[in-house]
Amino acid sequence: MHFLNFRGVFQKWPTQILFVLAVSALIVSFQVIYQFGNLWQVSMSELKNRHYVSAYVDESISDEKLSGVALELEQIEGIDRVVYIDRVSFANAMEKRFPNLHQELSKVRNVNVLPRYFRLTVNSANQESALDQIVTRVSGLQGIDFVEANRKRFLGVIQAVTKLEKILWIFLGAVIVLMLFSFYYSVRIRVHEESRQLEILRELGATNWYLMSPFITQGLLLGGLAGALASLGFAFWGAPVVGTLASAFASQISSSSQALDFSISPHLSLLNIALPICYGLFTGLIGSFIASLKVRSSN
Amino acid sequence: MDYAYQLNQVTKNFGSFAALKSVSLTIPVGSFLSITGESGAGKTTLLRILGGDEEPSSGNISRISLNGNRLSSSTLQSLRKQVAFIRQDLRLLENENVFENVAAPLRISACPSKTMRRRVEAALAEFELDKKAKMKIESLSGGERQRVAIARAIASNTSVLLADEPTSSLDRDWSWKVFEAFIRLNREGRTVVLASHDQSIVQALKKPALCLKRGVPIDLGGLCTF
Repeated sequence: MHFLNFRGVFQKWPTQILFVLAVSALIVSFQVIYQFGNLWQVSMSELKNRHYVSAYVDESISDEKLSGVALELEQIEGIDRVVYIDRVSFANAMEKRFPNLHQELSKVRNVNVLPRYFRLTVNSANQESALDQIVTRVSGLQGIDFVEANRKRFLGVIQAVTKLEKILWIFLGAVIVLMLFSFYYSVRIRVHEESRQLEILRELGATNWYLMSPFITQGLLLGGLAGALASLGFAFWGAPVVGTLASAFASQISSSSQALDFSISPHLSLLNIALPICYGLFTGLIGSFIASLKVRSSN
Repeated sequence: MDYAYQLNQVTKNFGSFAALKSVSLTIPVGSFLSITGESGAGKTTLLRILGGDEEPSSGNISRISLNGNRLSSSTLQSLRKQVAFIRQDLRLLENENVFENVAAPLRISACPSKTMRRRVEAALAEFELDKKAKMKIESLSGGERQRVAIARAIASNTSVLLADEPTSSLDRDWSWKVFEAFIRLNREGRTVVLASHDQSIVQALKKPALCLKRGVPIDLGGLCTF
């Protein structure tokens, strides 16, 4: 019954296996929520600082004259980037980035002619007046049919995503609290069951650390096991879920904002696989440490 | 002279009941003291005070150079590492086997593994428990359990041994083996305080004895005469 004595941890192994499975499920949930939230946070922080203006090309203008229009657009102060989106590349780009939109886009292509337009990136257009000036100047150019700079709709999307982020953070907090409570109660029950044994060891001169250490070992061991299991769970199940969620939301955002020019896809790095083990060890350590403090108070 | 314990007018009350009344006593280091008296005389209370389980209601006590009636948590731990206490209820670790029970105080004091094994095996052999080393405590008889508690105290590396009715469940032969072990430990320099209601044992030991009657030493600080 000392720090390296693991016997007590596995005395009730069927219960402990169930406990490890439950905690690993919690860790996988945590990792899925965290990875998904983190993905959006990074993407949105990029998106929030930008503004996109779509300058639709007059259908009567020839392709040869388009380069001249592009040059004129580049010379307008405040426009950082000009990208010409022709019908085919628009469709292809969308299909490549969001494969799950393929069917939707195909349907659209069969019934509608896709537009030709210039997508203008305005990075410093936080002031509405500056944006209005750019829109007015672009609208006045020959070859431009109409200009769309629906900042409100775009901001609405960002607000919705920000709300989603907050909800995800609340979920994350709840999962962490659940994990801590799981470890706390698991260890607390063992402390209670072994209270007489602990009392005797104390009479034999055991220090608080000596009495607490097996319980902290229990937390670390079970946390590590649950974390390792969760790593596998995330690699084989969690990461694909994050990918599916990200694709689903990306399609929503792209259709709403019409301005998603970067990919949103999770990457299964070694760190992402190792993180669940760290979560397990950390929550196991904290939960069991708090629970084992009861040993001190019963002095 | 160095002393293991020094009590000055120590009184212990449990509510209105006085278990010990004005006990003054000095127990030198390396001495052997028997405490006797009929049931309820205060022998266990006195031993519990010596072991740090109880605090005196009044008076002063110094335990193994640790002064003060009230001991802090860390001081109490330090005292308990120096005192092996065979309690009447034995206080064995029911979930552990015989070997682990005897080894427990040595593990707590971080005794090297080889030394621990040697000491435990010697104690188990002395009390014929070596063949039951891997048995759980719950499967032992009352006498065997008492021998495990005694073996634990003897194997531990303490300077003081307190024993409260240590042979209550043992037959006469085993009782004498236990007392012989106590006398041997005392010769090796350990301070031994033995409480027994059996005056014939105390007489036969031919060691200094303190008689208690209803919490009062019959001969204060002195020895019993039989």
